[in-house]
Amino acid sequence: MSDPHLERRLGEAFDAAARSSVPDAASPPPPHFMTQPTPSRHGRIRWIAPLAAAAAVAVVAGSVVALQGNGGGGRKGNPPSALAAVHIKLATTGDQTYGVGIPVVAYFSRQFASAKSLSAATSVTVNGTAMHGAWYFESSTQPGYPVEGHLRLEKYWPANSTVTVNVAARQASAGGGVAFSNDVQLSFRTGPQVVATVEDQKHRMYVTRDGKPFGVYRVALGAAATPTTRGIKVIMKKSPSVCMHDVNGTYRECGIKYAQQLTYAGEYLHAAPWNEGNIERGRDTAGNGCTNLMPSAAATLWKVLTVGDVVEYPDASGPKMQVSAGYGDWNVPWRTWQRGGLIPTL
Amino acid sequence: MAPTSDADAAVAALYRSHRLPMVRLARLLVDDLETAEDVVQDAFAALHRRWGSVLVPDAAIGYLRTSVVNGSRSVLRRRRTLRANPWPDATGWRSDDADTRVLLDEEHREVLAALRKLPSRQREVIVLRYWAELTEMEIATTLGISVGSVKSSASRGRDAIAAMLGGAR
Repeated sequence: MSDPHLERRLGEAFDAAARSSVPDAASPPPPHFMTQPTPSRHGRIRWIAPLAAAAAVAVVAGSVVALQGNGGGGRKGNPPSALAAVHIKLATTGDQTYGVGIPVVAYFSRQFASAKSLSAATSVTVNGTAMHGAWYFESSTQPGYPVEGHLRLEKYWPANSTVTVNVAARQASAGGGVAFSNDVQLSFRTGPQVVATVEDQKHRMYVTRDGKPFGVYRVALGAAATPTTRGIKVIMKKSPSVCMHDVNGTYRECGIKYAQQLTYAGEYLHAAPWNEGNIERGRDTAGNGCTNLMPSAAATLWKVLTVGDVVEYPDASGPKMQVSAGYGDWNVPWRTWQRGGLIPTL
Repeated sequence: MAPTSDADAAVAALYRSHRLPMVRLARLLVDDLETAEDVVQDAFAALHRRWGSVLVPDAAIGYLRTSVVNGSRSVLRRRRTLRANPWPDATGWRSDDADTRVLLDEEHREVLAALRKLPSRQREVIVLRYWAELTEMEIATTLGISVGSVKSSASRGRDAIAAMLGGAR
């Protein structure tokens, strides 16, 4: 009998035995320590093992990996057995069509030690076929959710496909005795494979669609003081009109049209009618590392590009894009990604 | 009975939230539910006595877990010296509560019968690893042994169970 098969049998047998012989009681017996200050009839328990130094998180003895969607105990509305549980909040909206570069994003309600069980509980299928996805974790700025996890395949999602993600994490171990409190599921479609490459040297954006050239557009990138970061970015959000302000707070301008966001700090593709002269001449003068476009180009790209489409900046003059600056996932080599980042998945 | 001290309130809260998983852990290690309940009551009582003097509150559950394992081991050791047959049979796993709808099937009873036959150290390591899902480091701390001992006990325990279950399934 192979080890994984045996391990699964052990887990299932223990879970069944534990739950059948110790059912959840409506009213547990009163605690002896409140009424009996002296030890019970079994005598004093000898304290043998020294305690480990205190962990930052309270631990629980009873978390079980639901390896086969354990529907018995878990679905009857039992209270969670973990004092400290990790709640998973899916950020990616389902039933939408995205570009092939979209990561599945989820927030986690506390720090935790291990994503190994989470990984085992995660299944990804594309058009019904199982594929190997991996989680990578970063710090999050979401209030109440200190950890952000991104799930992706080794390469971009296949185009024009249906993706389903199932994270059967309820009661799965998060390490240190903490457990996840809920499952999440997601289903979405991908559109055509759209990849835009912005070449700073040439001041052009080359857009390909399903491998075929789609169009070329003049651009002006970030000025020397506010350079565009280098690397592979993904469109995170589209806004017909946004307000922008620079990091120093020295200007604030609204009504900026056809804005497609690439980083949290405020790099966008957008129409820059005030800057047509520089776009024509290929002079990098944009604030905040933005990619300035002629209004007609911005309008076209607004129709063509979708959240999740890939926009590459191989030779931009700014520093390398950090993974957490936006959906910087494609800048992380797969081998590194598979280790999990902030929280180990292995 | 209203809490009269920090220890009362804190341990009462831990009791409410952790009694059940602790009893389940003990039940996997000892013969019967009543014994498991006693072992856990003793563990909470010991925690209550030591509260504030030795423990950092966040380490309470690690302390409980170790107490439960030690208490379970003590009980079995005492019982073994009293009984002619040292190995309780697997029928002890039938549900203690007639109203419980979850019954143990043949496959599970086979695994639990095999677990019963392991030496106590291997059984403890296997339960802590595959039910409580502790890391090797956590198991080592709970049992007061080295990580190397945990690894070898887990390996021997798995091999022994696999051999007892045979290659049929």
